[in-house]
Amino acid sequence: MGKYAILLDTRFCTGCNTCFYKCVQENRLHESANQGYARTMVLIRDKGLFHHRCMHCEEPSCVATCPSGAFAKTPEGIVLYDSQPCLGCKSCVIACPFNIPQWDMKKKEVIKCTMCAHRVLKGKQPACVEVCPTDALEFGLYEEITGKAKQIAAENKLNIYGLEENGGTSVIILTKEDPIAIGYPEVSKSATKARGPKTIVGTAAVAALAYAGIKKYTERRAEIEGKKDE
Amino acid sequence: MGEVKLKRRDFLKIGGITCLSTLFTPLNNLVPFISFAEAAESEAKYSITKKIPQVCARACECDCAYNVVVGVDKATGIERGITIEGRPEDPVSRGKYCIKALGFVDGMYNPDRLLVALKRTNPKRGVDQDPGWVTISSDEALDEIIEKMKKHKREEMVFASPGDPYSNRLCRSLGVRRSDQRTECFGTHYYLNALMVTNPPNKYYSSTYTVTHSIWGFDYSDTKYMLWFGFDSFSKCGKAGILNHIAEGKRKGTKIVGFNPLRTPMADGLMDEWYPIKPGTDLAVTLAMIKIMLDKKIYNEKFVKNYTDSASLIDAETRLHITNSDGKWMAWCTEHKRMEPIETCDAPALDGGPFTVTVDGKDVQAMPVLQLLKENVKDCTSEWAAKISDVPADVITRVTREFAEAAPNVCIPNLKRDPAGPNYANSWRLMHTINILHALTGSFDHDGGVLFLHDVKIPWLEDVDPPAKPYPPLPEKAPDFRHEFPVTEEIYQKKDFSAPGHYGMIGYGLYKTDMTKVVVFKGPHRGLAALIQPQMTEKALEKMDLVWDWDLYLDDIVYWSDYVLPAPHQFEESKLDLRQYYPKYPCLVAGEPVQKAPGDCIGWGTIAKRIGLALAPEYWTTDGSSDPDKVIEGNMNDAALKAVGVAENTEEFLTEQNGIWIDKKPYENYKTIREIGYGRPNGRVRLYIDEFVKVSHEPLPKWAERWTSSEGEYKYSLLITRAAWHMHADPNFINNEALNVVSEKNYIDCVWISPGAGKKLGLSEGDSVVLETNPKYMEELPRPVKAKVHITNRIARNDCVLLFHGIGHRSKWLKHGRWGYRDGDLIPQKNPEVSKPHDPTGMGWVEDVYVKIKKA
Amino acid sequence: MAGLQTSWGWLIAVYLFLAGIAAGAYICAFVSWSKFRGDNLISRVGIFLAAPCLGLSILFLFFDIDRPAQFMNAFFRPHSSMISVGTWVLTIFFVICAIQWLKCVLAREKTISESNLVWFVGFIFAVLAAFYTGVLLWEMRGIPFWNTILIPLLFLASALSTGIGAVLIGATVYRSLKKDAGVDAINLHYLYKMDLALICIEAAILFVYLLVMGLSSQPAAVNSVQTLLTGSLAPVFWILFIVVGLVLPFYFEWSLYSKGISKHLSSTIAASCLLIGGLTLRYLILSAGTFSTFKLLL
Ligand SMILES: Nc1nc2c(c(=O)[nH]1)N[C@H]1C(S)=C(S)[C@@H](COP(=O)(O)OP(=O)(O)OC[C@H]3O[C@@H](n4cnc5c(=O)[nH]c(N)nc54)[C@H](O)[C@@H]3O)O[C@H]1N2
Ligand SMILES: Nc1nc2c(c(=O)[nH]1)N[C@H]1C(S)=C(S)[C@@H](COP(=O)(O)OP(=O)(O)OC[C@H]3O[C@@H](n4cnc5c(=O)[nH]c(N)nc54)[C@H](O)[C@@H]3O)O[C@H]1N2
Ligand code: SF4
Ligand code: SF4
Ligand code: SF4
Ligand code: SF4
Ligand code: SF4
Ligand SMILES: [Mo]
Repeated sequence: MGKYAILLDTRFCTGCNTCFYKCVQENRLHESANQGYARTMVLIRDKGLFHHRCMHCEEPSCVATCPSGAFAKTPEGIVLYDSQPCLGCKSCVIACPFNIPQWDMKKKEVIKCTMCAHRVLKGKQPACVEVCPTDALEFGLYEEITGKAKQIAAENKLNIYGLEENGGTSVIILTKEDPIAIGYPEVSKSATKARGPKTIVGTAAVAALAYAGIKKYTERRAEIEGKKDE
Repeated sequence: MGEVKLKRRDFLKIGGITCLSTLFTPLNNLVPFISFAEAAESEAKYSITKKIPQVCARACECDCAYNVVVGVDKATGIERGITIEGRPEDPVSRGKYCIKALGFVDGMYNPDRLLVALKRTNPKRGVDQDPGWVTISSDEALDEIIEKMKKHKREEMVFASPGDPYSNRLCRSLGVRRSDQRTECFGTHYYLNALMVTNPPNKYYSSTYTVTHSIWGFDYSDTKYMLWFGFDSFSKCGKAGILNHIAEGKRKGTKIVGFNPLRTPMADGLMDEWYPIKPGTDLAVTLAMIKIMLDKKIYNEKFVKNYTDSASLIDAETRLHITNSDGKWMAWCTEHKRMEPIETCDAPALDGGPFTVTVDGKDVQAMPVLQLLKENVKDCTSEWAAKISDVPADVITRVTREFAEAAPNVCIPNLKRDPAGPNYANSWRLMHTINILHALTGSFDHDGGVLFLHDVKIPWLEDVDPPAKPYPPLPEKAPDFRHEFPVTEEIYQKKDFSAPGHYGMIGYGLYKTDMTKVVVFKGPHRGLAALIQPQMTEKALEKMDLVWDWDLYLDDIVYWSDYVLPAPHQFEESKLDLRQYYPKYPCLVAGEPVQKAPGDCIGWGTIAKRIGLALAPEYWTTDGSSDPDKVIEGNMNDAALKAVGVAENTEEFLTEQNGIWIDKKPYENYKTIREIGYGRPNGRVRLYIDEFVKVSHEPLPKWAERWTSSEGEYKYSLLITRAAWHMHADPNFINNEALNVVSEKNYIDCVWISPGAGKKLGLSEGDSVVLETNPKYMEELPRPVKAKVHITNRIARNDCVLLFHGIGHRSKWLKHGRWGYRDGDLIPQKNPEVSKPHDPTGMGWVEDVYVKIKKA
Repeated sequence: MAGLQTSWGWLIAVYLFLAGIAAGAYICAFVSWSKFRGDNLISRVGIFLAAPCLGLSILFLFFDIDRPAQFMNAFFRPHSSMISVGTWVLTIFFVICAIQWLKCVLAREKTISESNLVWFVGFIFAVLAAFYTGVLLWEMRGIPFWNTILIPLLFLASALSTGIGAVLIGATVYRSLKKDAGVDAINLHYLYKMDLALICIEAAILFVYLLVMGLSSQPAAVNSVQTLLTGSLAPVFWILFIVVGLVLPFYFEWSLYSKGISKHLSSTIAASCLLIGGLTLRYLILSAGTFSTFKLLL
């Protein structure tokens, strides 16, 4: 199996949300959807359409932030969630720079796209892609999709979102308007590289120095005071 | 404990080790990889047990063919309709379908579905009255209804029902008027219960002058240039059956120029150019286009000569087409300098005149239609149109030129409610100009342009089971005043009883006259409650003797109903569909019931037969007797399949051809235009409409202002559209919580205004506002609308406000129908006397409302 | 328009707050231990408070997670994520605190005698714990308001300050119970001094932080600042945090410090204010954390 990606050419998207409801039916997510949690939803905004869907990052922040190993990245480029080990700490909800995972309070699990792994495994397209009336969504091999995205973007003077964001993603979005103006988050190009854990180790080093410093300082003070007393 | 002095060396050691460990800990590679097949969700959440072919009905005109996937939901272990699967072999949907189709699947299981018949015990009707429902069997309810109907004269009854074959037969046999506004609207829509033939291409019901009855489709995939006058509505955003073609065309390079004060996502993505036209002024632009084409002679002369009445002569005095004794139109021959039948004239004059010709021995002055048209539009320059419409003059000129250059692969698509639909006062004029533009470009009945259905003949109930004797005459007067509009009354009475009624006036008729005592609502048509000024209808219904409704849910209309009969869901019925909105290929599609209708549901065909047999048995038996064993069978599906020569019966069609038949021969240009007698009698498109002359209206389009105008604070022109995932006020969608969530997140529950207007009114996002109709136009029973505002630059003008249709709901029996505002509350019922001077068809009705907006 | 951040709510605020107190109290204890070269009231109170606060803190984390049955998973992948690292940090820190607590309380020893190693490790983990509470937020990329090193610094300063606050209260209580502790009054003065500095540092970091965020290119961060300064959180921010959390304790501590006295009442008020301020800060920073897509998602 290769590495996959989804191309979204928003020029062809009408905001019909057929992708949303298809996902709900395919993945039997009615109850979550009733409460407003969705794996994909399209929002009609002033400057364009905003697709709230997992980007399947190359170096996913959700994976890097999840303490339980509930999130994982597959060689196919797909980021998967497994509710079994999940603690429900909701770090993933806050850590994802695209604000994707949603915590379903009733089901007590994360709602996030699987890129329809169960269908892709059987050689089918993800449900939302298959259903899109205008083929605004396209599924394919990562290399082909990115190649195509670049070509379409160049030919039609479109913006590309997702190619580099958060270190690159497997969902490539083409927009007429500046994606940031539409409302897509401005995400740094570099991935989350576990800044936190590293910082902690660094901090430990600094703390060690501080410890030593305090010790030295108080010893010095004591010495001086001792001398004064003499 | 002794103190260990920390030495400089230790200090460095500790620091160093910690720093090094920072570098070496394998923190950079935290990403756990799992193999794909280990995915927690590597299996589908349901197992498929069967796939049932169906055709989409009553959600839009596309009539997509698809399969309803039935399976076992693993979480619950219950077998049910799961989802929809596309049928790529269907030339219309090409494997696509939309969110509404998906919504219908879950609609079957909506816990609020009505499964038993109900009877009111509290005689007082009204939304604040508890009807005191008691359950009753559908059979018994029907018996009681029939007993009550027997007590009334036919003049006292009206069926608020679409013109499906069974409703038509029932009304005709009883001699009762039927009234609705949109029979022609879509396909299966009207045939749910009767499940028969859908979308009969009624040949006589010419679009040329009724402006509503589209008998064509548009070749979106092969067109080169399209103009969209409000076509890009939010409603269209979901129409998979046409969107897949538009997308294909777009990828091949279709140029699309749109005019709409509202910028929808279709404008964002698909349009090359978009102009926020002033509401109600599209006509000015099309008139200017006609003028440019005529002046610059950039029209398709061959088509105009051969396939239209452009060269036919009009008598200056009678203002009607001059015909010879055979009824043929006459033209002025420029070679022979005399009048000749248009068909045999080699060099007909398209312009010039007046010519003196002899008709019935008298000399009359006559001019060809095209010359009259030229004179009609002579002042309609681009600059003139620009001033009226706010579309720049150079744009109008350039677009006209480009449009003419791309002809005949061009079109101006228009479906039901966009500004060329029947709902705007000037729509009939706009539609007329659009027809003329299609004629001038020769895009009628041409691939890449306007498509006509070729070679499919579908019999109706009347053909399958002809009535044993002529139907009784209809009551002279109609509660919807149709009788006062000869143009449409004639069609209704003589040509097509399924013709739409005057819904803009029925509420007024029920309220203002005492002629009606019994009102029957046939769902899917709760219409009256969701339509225009429902408050007037509601008030009128309070005084009726009998009101009954056949419906899928207990929605608003039942607050005024004495009986409610539970209807089956469209997926619980069989269908046969002929799709004419994309008639590139002749095509038939059949659908089978997905499941048996639950509870005590009763089909409309059964109801019609029961009532018919009780009240007018001679029309409901094969031999005109009253013998219940001889009741008409009325299987139009089988008859239709036989007539086309596709299969012996539906069973065979479904098993042997999978329920789909496509005649994939190449489209033969300009074939049907002759065959269907379009613009009778000469198989030509009629630009000049004699019928309008007879009712003192212009036979050729002329500029006209809207009926009502902006006045003082009442200056916000009302725009209406619908969310892609809601279908009018249909509880299948309104009562679906997930869809409500999407609506909420997209501000569909708000009224939309432009930032400019918001500023002027001192409003900010989310403020509550009240909208009020100008009392000058809504003298009685006003009902201001209260809602939150959404301030958005998608409303591109400061002189309008957008409302979403269908979201308002009051029924307490719908758990999720939670929203309040109703667009229709602001739209006044029409007085026929007010209508007549503006509208020869009397069918414009949702149009031209100016409202005041104030902070609540 | 943009609502408050709720994925991490008040339970997490209390969790971060208590962890901060524990760390601050411990550091306080250690510094006093070094300064006074051995047993003293402050060290004892610090040690006495640290462990229970930390225990409570972890309990709050436990309450917050929605699938507590899986809590152990947080330990299995030690450096997989910030939460795991933090869980380990807090756990180890807790073990050390617990040892010292047991010795101090149960062993009824007059003095807390402890090896340098224990203090060393304890100190490092105390700093880590305090810092962690901020790094945890810093890690969270979905909320631009938190994406700065200033957050852990701010939390560190606040942890120390609230730690001092807790110790002050503890010491006051102790002194009012046991009249013989008068000698230690002078020690409190050095706490006032330290805290005055900390309050200044905290205010300075906060100022720079809000400035940076207010001028950020990320609309979400700007929105957060607005929510705090002028929006729905403004009353809480200005009254509970700025006035009660910073100005009042500064005023009381300054007057105590400059007058060289140690009044139970003022001291307790100052300390309580510090605690209120500390908790408020955590809550404010959490709640004001606007998601990047706040303009889009309701
Ligand atoms: N999702 C969904 N789809 C539907 C339906 C539904 O309820 N929901 N209903 C079906 C039915 S019954 C019908 S009739 C059709 C209706 O579908 P449409 O015919 O597309 O009707 P509306 O949605 O009312 O859209 C009218 C459009 O015209 C624009 N408009 C209003 N006034 C003017 C004007 O003066 N000039 C111009 N140029 N534009 C103007 C409005 O801004 C709006 O975009 O859709 C069908 N499809
Ligand atoms: N104010 C205002 N009024 C309007 C419009 C507008 O834009 N503004 N639009 C107008 C237009 S274009 C139209 S077409 C009309 C439409 O008006 P209606 O046709 O009255 O549409 P709905 O209100 O959706 O009512 C549809 C009914 O069909 C029932 N139904 C749905 N599915 C099924 C099924 O499978 N089987 C059966 N038996 N019943 C079913 C639903 O329960 C519902 O009661 O409204 C018109 N009214
Ligand atoms: S189905 Fe396609 S067109 Fe519709 S909202 Fe989704 S991506 Fe856009
Ligand atoms: S978009 Fe968010 S949830 Fe999806 S893979 Fe990237 S970080 Fe994870
Ligand atoms: S809530 Fe998110 S981050 Fe926390 S354990 Fe579950 S998946 Fe991992
Ligand atoms: S890929 Fe599958 S899971 Fe993901 S949004 Fe699409 S339908 Fe839903
Ligand atoms: S576009 Fe949607 S509503 Fe229209 S016919 Fe197709 S599936 Fe049905
Ligand atoms: Mo309609």
